[in-house]
Amino acid sequence: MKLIVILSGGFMWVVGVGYKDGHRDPLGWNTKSDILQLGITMVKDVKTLQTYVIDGEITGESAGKIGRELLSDSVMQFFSFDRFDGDGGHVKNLVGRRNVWAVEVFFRPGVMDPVGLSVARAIGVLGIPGVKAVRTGTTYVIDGELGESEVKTICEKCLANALIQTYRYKRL
Amino acid sequence: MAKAIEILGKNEKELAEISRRFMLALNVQEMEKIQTYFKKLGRNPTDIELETFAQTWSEHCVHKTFAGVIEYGGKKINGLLKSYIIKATKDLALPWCVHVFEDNAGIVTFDGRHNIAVKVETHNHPSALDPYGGAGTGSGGVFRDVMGVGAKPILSTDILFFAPPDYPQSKLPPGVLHPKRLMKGVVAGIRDYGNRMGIPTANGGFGFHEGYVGNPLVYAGCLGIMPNDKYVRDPKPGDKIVLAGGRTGRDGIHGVTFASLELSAESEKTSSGAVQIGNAIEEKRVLDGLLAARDRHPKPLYSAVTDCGGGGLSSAIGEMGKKTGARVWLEKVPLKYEGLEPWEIWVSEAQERMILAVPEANVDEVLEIFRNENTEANAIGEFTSDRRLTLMFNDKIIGELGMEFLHEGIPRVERKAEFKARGTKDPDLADEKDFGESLKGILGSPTVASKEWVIRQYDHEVQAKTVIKPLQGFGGPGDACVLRPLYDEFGGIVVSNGYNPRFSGDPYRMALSAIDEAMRNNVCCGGRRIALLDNFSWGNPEKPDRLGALVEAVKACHDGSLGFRAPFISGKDSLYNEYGLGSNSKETISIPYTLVVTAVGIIPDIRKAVTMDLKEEGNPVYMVGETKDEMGGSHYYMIKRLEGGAIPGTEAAKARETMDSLTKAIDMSLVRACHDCSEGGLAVAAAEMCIAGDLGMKIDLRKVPQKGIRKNYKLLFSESNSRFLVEVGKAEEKEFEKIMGNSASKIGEVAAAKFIVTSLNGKEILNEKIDGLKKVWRGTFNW
Repeated sequence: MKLIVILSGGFMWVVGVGYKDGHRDPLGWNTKSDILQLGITMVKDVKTLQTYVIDGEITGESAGKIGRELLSDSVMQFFSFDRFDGDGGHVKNLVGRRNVWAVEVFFRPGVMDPVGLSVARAIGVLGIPGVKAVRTGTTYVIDGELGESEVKTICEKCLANALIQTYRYKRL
Repeated sequence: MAKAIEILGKNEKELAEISRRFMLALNVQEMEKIQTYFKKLGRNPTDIELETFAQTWSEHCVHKTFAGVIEYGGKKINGLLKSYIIKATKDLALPWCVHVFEDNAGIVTFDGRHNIAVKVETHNHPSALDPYGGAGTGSGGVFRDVMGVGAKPILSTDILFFAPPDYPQSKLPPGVLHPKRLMKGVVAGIRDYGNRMGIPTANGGFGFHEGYVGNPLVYAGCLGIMPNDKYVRDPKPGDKIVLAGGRTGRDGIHGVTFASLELSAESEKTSSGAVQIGNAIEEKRVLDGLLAARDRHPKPLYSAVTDCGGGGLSSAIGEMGKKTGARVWLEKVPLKYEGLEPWEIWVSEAQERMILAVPEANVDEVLEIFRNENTEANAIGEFTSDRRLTLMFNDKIIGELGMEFLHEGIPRVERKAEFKARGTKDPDLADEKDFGESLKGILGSPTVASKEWVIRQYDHEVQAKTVIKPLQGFGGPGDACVLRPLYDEFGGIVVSNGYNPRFSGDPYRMALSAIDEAMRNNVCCGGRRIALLDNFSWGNPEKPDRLGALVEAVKACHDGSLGFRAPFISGKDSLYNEYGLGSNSKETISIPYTLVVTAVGIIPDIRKAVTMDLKEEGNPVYMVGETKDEMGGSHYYMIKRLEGGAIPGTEAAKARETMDSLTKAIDMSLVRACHDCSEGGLAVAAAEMCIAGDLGMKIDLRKVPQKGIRKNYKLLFSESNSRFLVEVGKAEEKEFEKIMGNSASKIGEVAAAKFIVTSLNGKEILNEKIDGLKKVWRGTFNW
C-alpha cells in the first residue's frame, strides 16, 4: 500500500501504531459504530493505526527505536514500520484476511499538524538527528463485504473532512 | 509587495464589487467613508490598508450592531450595549468589579490579593466547517484572552449547541456536517486543547435543537487568576512591539470578515483559509513565558499585553497603539513558509501568538525568557507618539493610516427592529395516569441525558484545584463547578451557566431565564457575589425581526442584572448565525436565538460547598420557590410535540431574596444536597438527584408551593424559574424552615431505590425504579 505523497521527496519512513489483540481500540470501535449508523451494516470490524510519516535521513534501526520508545506503549500497543515507498509493512500485522480495506487519512498540505511538530521535536530529544518533519495521520483497516462506493461514503461521512484532510483507500 | 487598489472615483456599485472581490465584508457606506478619507489624502489605498479597515471595522471586532443606532418601537436606542447592559453594571457600581467591558476579559476581585479574570466567546463558524480545529482554536483563543490581561488560566468551560444527534442523514442541508460528527469533533477539539495545555475543563453544557442543524454553536470560556497588582495596560511611545509564540502562516485569513457572513453550501469552498488547527503545546510555552515575564520582578517586564486573535496583528497592534501610534516592520515577523504577501502577514490569524509592549531596557530579558521556554519572540515594531499606524516592509512604507480615523471613523449603523410577541395559548392536556414513560422520554432527550461520555474525555482535575466536579455522586449532573484557586486558603470560585433556546419564542423571558438559571446553579453549590457574562448568538441583525428579538433580550439583561444585583462584566456577540437550505432558495433560516449567561461567584469556604446527589434515606426534601403554569418551551411539550404555553417569567428581586436565604442555609451546613429545577422541571430534578445519590425519593404534589395549577403534569414538568429542590438533614428541619420562611415547603423525603409521586388527588402517578431511570438517562450518549 502506498502512502499519499505529502512531503516533498527525500528519504522517508512510515511508522504505524495500533492496539494488540485483546486490547480495545477505542477509535476503531467508535468508527465502527459511526459506520453502522450510516446504514452500512456489513462492517465487521475496524482497526486503526496512528500513522507517522518521518521525513529525514535516518536508519531503519532509528525508525524502530522511534516506534518502540516514542510512539507506542509496549503493554497495549504494537508498532511496525516501513520505508515510505515500501509495500505497506506498517499495516502488515492487521492484514491476512480477505475483504479488508485500508484507508489513510492525512492533513492537507499547509494544514498545521501540531502532533507532528511535537513528534519531530521529541525525536531530536531521543538523540536521533536528521529528521526534517513528521506528518501524522490515521490508517483505518475496515473488515467487511464492502464495495468501493461504500468505502467512499465512509470516507466522506466519517473519516475525513475534505476541507482539511485527504484520504486514499485500497483493498488489501 | 503592497499594491494600490483603485477606489477613488468609483461609484457605489463598483465599491461594493471591490469589497466583495477582496472579501472585505465592508458595506457601501463604509467603503464610501474610506473613499472620502483617501480622497483627502489624494491617493488610493494599498491592499494592506484596505485589509486593515476590513479587520478593524468588522462586526467581530467592533460589534457594529451593539454599538449602532437602533430604531425600535418608535424610539431610537443609542448603542444597545451602553444603554442597557453596561448601564446596569454602572448603576450597580459594585466595588468588587475591577475592569469591566474594557479589556480582553472581565476582572473582579477574589480575596484582596488576587483577582479573577473571565471571558467567554463563540467560535461558531469555524467549528461548523472543521469541528476539531474550530473548537480547539476556540479554546486556545479564549485562553489567550485571559492570558492577555496577565492572568493564569485555571478553568475551561464550554457550552455547545447542535441539532439532535439522531438527526436523519437524508434531511441534512447540502454542505453541512451531521450533528453527531460535529459533536464528536468539537468535543475532541476542546479535549485536546485543554488537556494538552493543562487547563481543566470542569464546567460546561449542551443544548440540542433542530434549528442548529446548519449552524452549530460553540461557546468557549476561560477563567484565570492573577495577583491584583500585576495588571498593566499602558503602552508608552518608544516601547517595542514584541510578538511571542507561533509562526505566522496563511491560517485563518479572513476569519473575522468570514464570521460576518452567513454560512452557505459554498462556504466549504470559499472559506477554507478560515480553518486552523491549534497547537496547545505551543500556547503552553507562551503562557509559561508570559507568566515569567510577569513575575520575575516585582513589576511586569511589559507595559501591556494582548492576544492575537481575530484580525491577527492588525487588530492586536491597532488596538494597543490606539492612543499612541505604532510602527511595524512586517519583514521581521517569523513565517512558517515563504511566499506570504505583507497584507497576509498583517491579518493572518495564526494561533498561539501574543503581542507585548516592552520598554526598550527590558526587551533582551523578555526575548531570553521566551527563548528559555523554547518559543520564539521578536521585536517587530515600536509604539510611537504620532497617533498613526505605519506599516513597513523592507524599509518601505506600505501603509499609513491615522489611528483616529481607523478607530473612530466607522460609520455607525442605523438599523430598524421590530418584535411581535408570540401567542401563549396553552394546549392544556389531560393528565396521564402514569408519568413513567414521559419522565423517561425527557431523561433520555439529548439536552437532559447524561454527558458522561463527554465529561470523561475532559481532564477536569489537572492543576488540582477542582473541588466540586462535573459528575457528582454516582455520575449525577452537577449544577456548577467549584475551584479552589490557591492552595493556602479555603476560598473558592463557583462557575455555572444558564441558557435555554427553547424559550426563544419570548426573548425577554428567555434572557431573564438564562440569568436566573446561571444564578441558581451557582447558588446551589454555595456561590454568592455573582458576576455575569453575556454571550449572544443570533441571526442576521439586518433583518428587523431578528434585531427586535435581540433588543428584547438585551433589555432583559439590564432588568435582570439590576433585579438580581448581579453585574455583567464581559460579553460577546456572534450575529449572522443563519444558513441557507440550498442553492436555489435565497431564504435563510436563523438559529434559535441563544443567550448563554455565565455566572462567576465566590464561596468563602469550599468545605461548605454542596453537591446535588441525595445523601441519606429518611431526610426531608424541600421545594424552594413557586411552580407556575408555565409550560411554554418545556421539555414535556417537546416530547409531546406541542407548541404554545407561557414561557417562564422571572421575578428577579424576589428570586434574589430566596437565593440569599438559601446561601445562608448552606453556610450553616443545613443543606445536604441541592439541585435547581430547569429542563424537565421538578420531576427531572428529583430523578437526577436520585440517580446521583443512588437513592430514591417520595414526594407529594399537594405540598408543592404553586399558583393556580390543577394538573399534575404541570407541577411535575413546568420549568418555572427560581426553584430549587433541597435535601435537608433530619435534625435541621426547623432551622431550615426558619431561615427560608414561606419560600420553602417540605414535599417529601429521601427513600430507597424508587421515585414515587403522589398526585393532587392522592393517587400514585409515578413509581419508577431508579435503576431503570438511570439506564435511560445514561443510554443516549453511550457512544
